[in-house]
Amino acid sequence: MELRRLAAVAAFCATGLWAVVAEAHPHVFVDAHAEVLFDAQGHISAVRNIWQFDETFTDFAIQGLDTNNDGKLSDAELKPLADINVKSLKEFDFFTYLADGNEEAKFLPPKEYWLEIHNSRLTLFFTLPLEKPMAVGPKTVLEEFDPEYFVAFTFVKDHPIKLDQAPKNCSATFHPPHELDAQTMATLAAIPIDQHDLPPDLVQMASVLANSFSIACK
Amino acid sequence: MKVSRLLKVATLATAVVLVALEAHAAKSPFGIATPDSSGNYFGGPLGPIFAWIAFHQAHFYQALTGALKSLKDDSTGVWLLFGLSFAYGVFHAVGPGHGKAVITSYLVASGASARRGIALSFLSAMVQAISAVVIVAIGAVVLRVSAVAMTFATDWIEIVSYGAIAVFGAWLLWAKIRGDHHHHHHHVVAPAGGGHGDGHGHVHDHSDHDHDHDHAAHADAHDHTHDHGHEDHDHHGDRSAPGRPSTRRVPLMARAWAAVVAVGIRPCSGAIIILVFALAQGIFAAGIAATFVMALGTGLTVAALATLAVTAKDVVLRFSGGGSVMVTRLARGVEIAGAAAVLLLGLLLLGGSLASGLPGSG
Repeated sequence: MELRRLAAVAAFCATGLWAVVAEAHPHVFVDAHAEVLFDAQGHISAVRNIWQFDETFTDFAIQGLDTNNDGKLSDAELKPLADINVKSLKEFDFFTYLADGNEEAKFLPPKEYWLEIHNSRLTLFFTLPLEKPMAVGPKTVLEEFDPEYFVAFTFVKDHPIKLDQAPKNCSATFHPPHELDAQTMATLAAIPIDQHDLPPDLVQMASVLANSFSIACK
Repeated sequence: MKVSRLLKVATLATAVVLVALEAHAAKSPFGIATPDSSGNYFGGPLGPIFAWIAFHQAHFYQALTGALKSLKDDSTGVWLLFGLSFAYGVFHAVGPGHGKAVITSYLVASGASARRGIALSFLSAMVQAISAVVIVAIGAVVLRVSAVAMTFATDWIEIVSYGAIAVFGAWLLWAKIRGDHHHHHHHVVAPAGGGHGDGHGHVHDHSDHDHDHDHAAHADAHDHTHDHGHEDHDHHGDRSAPGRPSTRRVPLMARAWAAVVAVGIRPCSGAIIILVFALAQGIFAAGIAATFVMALGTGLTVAALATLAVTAKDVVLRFSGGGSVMVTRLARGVEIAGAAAVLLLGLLLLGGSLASGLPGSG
């Protein structure tokens, strides 16, 4: 009897838990391209992001912005949206994480940013200067993703990243998000939530969403 | 009593889990379209499963918007669109948002039948769809405001919705603790016959309910401490008390509607995005239809969950057996916990929403 009671209580709790365990789903799809900028000393000085939004989100975002009704969106008409985009992204760390091992780079808010429409898709350009330039180390990794998965990032396959003005011996390797196979699922289940304190290879494993680039200068 | 306490703790703990997960300050990363929920959901033992669901939802969503767009030149795709919308709605609701938690807690608190639960689930999903359509119709069609302004409006509606849930939870809790005596008056008014069964002509149409055991004991003991779901007792208006027909049913109906509206007025960002997109593509009607079909799918999932919760509660009560007093107390305990959960959910959601700053301040 006790066992059955417990089973019933367990079932009840499970139902309750199922009711509150939240889950995210993306409503914004971004095709991304990243550019890593180097200074004269060969250190990383900034990261430039080019994010092209999906057509659905574009239509939502530009709703009501054509204030002069000429059927086109001028830079001036897009400016307020670009402002609020960049301002809001700050709270989300611009979805951009650069680190060498446990050394995380700090970004300054972008001064250079704008929106354009390409092929009826809104495209956001913005440059994130580093607080202080960072030397490329043995474990330098750039990651871009939304841990809450409201935004789904996909990097352009052929040229996901560009190292701008980098020393000749530097290169970047792209690791796209892991496919969700059974093995990954099992590995993920064993990893604690706090992914950013993990070594880079685990960081990458910890998130099925992370687009990760390892940057190395040999 | 042990079980009862366990249940109370479990229900409250469940609600507290929500702090960590959902009451996380939800703000929009682009300043437009606030995520429906936020927090890092892909950790923990269930993480990969939710990641998997979210992953597939992403594909669904894109197939859905693709189907919507293709309607522009080819109307044969309308059934595909409806099919995708329905499936999306079902999946969308699998990862539960606040609505499911509140509706489920409310059902547990009110002791409503599964049938009532199903009705409330579909109604709240429909109210949500209507809310999205009204916002887009006024915002985008009539006023032609920007996405920033529309997000501002929905963020305020969200705060109102969460506040309403908290107030509603407080009201429910107060009623529960007070003991919901109105049902008992009834017996005083027409105490004919000793047994519940004959005196009142209880044509209980609350079929799938857990009252059966209560009534067995009830017939002789006639102790009125039980507190079952009044909402389903459609017998009030019939033979039992012809003189005072629907006076009590009004507040009870109002209560159910309050739950439906409190939960439903906050529209889902996805629906708003899709509606504005449809409007921009010149297929607004198709977008509206898709939104309602989606709500049907969402309602189905929530209804399944609600049925599960109500059934689970009944099972718990049945298994805990051991005399009517015990069952009565247990039922009361569960219901009070449910009401407390609604209040807590409302407060947490409101707190999380306000913590990220008032709309437009960020």
